[in-house]
Amino acid sequence: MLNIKEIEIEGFRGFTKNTPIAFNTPLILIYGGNHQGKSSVLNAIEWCLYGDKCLGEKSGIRERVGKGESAWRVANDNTDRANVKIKIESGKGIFTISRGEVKGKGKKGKSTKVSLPDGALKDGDDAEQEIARLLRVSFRDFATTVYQHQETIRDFVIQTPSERSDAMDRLLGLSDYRNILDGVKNSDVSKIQKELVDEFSKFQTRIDEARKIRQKDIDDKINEASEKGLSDEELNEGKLLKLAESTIEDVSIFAEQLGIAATAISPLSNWKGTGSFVTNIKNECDHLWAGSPDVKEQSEKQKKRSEIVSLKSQYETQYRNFKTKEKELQDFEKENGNKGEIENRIKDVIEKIEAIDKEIKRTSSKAKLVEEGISLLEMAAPSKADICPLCGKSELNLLEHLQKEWREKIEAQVRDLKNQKEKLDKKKTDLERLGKEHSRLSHDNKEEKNRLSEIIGNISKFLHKELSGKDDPTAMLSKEIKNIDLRLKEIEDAIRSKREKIDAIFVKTETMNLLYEILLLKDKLEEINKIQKTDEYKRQEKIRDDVSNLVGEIEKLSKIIKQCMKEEAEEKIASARSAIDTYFRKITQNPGFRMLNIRVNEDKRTGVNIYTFEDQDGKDPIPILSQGDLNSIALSIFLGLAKTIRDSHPLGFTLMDDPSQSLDLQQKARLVEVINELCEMKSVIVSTMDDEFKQLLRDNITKAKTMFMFSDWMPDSGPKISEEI
Amino acid sequence: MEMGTLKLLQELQKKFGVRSSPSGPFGKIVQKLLALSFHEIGFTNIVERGVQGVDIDLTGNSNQKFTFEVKTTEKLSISLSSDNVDALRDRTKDGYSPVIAVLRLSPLEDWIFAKIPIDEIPIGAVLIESLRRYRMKDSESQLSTIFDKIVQKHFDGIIKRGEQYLKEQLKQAGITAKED
Repeated sequence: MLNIKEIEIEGFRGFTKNTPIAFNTPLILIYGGNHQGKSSVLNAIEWCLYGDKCLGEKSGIRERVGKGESAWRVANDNTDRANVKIKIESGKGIFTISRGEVKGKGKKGKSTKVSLPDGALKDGDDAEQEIARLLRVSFRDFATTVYQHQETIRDFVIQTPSERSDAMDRLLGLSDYRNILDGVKNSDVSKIQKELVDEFSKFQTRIDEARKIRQKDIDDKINEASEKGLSDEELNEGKLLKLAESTIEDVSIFAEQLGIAATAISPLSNWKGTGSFVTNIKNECDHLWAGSPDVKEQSEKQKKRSEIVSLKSQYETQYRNFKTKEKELQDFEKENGNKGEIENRIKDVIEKIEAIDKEIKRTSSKAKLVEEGISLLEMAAPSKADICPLCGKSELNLLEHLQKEWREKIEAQVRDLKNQKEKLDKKKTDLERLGKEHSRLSHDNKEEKNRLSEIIGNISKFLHKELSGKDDPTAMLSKEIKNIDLRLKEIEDAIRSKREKIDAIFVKTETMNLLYEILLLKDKLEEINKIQKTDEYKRQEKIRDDVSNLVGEIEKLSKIIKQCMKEEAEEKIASARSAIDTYFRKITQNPGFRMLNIRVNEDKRTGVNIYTFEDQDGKDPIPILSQGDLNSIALSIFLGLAKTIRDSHPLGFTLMDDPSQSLDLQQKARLVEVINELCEMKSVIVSTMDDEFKQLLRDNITKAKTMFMFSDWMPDSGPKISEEI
Repeated sequence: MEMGTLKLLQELQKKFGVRSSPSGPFGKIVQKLLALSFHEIGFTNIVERGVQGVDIDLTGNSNQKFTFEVKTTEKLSISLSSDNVDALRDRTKDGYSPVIAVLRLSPLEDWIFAKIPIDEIPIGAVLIESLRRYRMKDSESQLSTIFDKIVQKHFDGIIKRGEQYLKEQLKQAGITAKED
């Protein structure tokens, strides 16, 4: 048997300075109020023996789950290292196990050391192996059958039925299964599968929408085909190829009728060539049509008619222009005379002007002499004022006489002549303007006449006939147009039947186009079917199969885990049933209970264990049990399992943390009796804050006992520990 | 399933389908078309049931016997009742292997034949995708093209005369049809 003889705790949880505690009696009682470091002693034993196994989610202990600030920390916040050393006595001697953890940057590290009875020292992995060999009990069994944690009782007492089942699993050491199942649940493979299906379903919806649009197009075309008299059975490639064949035949017959050699058209071999086939047919029809004699003549006649209409129009316009100009000239001459008359009138005026000019000249000569005489007389000496300076004749008051004659006769005569001349000059200008206007009108008239002659010449040339002034070109051209129209009418009647044949061919090509469109749309619809044959589609199929298989495998795995979980629970309960029942009845001594049975069932919804409790009548006692009774069940399970497993490991001690919670005084007393019995076989280390329970232990445990009082805990110094006698 | 087949089935569903009842006339029509397809690819001893119980029983080439629960849906899941499972379980006593046959009426979908051990058949809403791991792929691909042809072949007859037409076709093919 292995028994703890001493523990040294430094920097671990509630402890700061190195604190040795000796365990020399079968009962060690650690007593004190809340937060005094009591549980830290039991935790220190567990951590020293099992290290990281007792930390985090894998520990199966709820309070150890958490990260960062909420993590369950090993080292005390006020120290940079945690060290726990335990001396364990075995049949071979003393083993000293040391476990340490250093905090802080650069120094962080963990250490494990074991000092063997022979003095040998092991560390690291060797030390861990040595510890495992020594203890021979897994952490899971330790946590469920050696160390009764506070929370296993607390959860059992206060949680809902489903959480009580969870607590039961932890009491039975099945939390690993729960953790795996949680992991499976959190992996959300089913969710991934659902997302995969949803994505594919969206793709299918898009495909379906595209399909419906294409189908609608096809249905519209089929209706169109039905209106053209095609039945559903005819909407296929066979019908299209037959139409193509008969069209080629129609074209050939048509060419024969026209007497024109047809160009060879390649037959249509599959519906996809319809477009170019129809183009070839149309081109050939155009070619035959253009080569037809009737059509040729029609074209020529239409061309000639167009030319005649143009000539007629030109002639009529020019004729009107010419007549207008001719009338303008006639009106002018009527008013102003012809060219000769105007010229004669100009001549008369010029002659008159010339005569006046002569008279003015004559009068001016005389005037010049008088003027000179006046001038000389005015300059002569007064004695000579009456002598004519020009002829020497003497005359009284000659100067005055000359001056009067100048004023009254010569000046008036010259003025009159000048007025006459001015009038004649104006008349001459007017006549010259009329002459010019006449010239212009004559010129314009001549121009229009020339143009008209030119057009008449063109008409003559076109009609192959010399036209005389007696001919009416308009009437001649109108007659010519009428003749062409009559001929065109004859041609049109002649070619109508040919046009109908071509139209019939075109109706066939239109039907072919319609069939082609239907086949094309169907082909496009068929493209969707091909999706399933693509590598991408096959790949996604494989992925979906793989995911489905994975989900299936995970489901199977979950099922197996749940089955194992159930079987292990049943096995443990079966082996400990009697002990559990005995402990329960012993602690509670409820006269209504003669038996406590625990059954393991499978939760139909989740598949995990669900525990039911039965009394001697097979009834569920839980609803009527007090919290103390529930605590008793939890304690009984722990003690029952501990008793069952006792012989399978060498640990000679049991750790109990606050076991009396919710128990009444009698139940506490009976628990003490159970612990007293337990002390016969093992040493028991009990931590409690319960004064009543402490008193009961002190008074009723018949084995030697040590009681440590934990008090005055301070963050930087830890608890004050005193040994009570 | 070809798009053309889907279109025809949707037309049949429009005419005969009862959306709220998967076992309505349309469901029975598809079931009969499936039975005819099985006959076409060589399965023997085919029994098609329009009554309560499993939908189709048949025997394969290697004398392996299968019993089918047939489901047609537009959704991503089907509903399996305890009656469905009980009926399949009942047939297993006679050596039949239970198969859930599902056809989802959607593009790019084909029949899924899920051969599931009777104790693993789930009850309630079952995601069709979850049946993939039990697929009888060879039988599915063998049946796929035949089913397209069978639907196209019998479409007009069904449109004109409904389920009665298919009952006659089953009889002609020598398929035992059990009706209520």
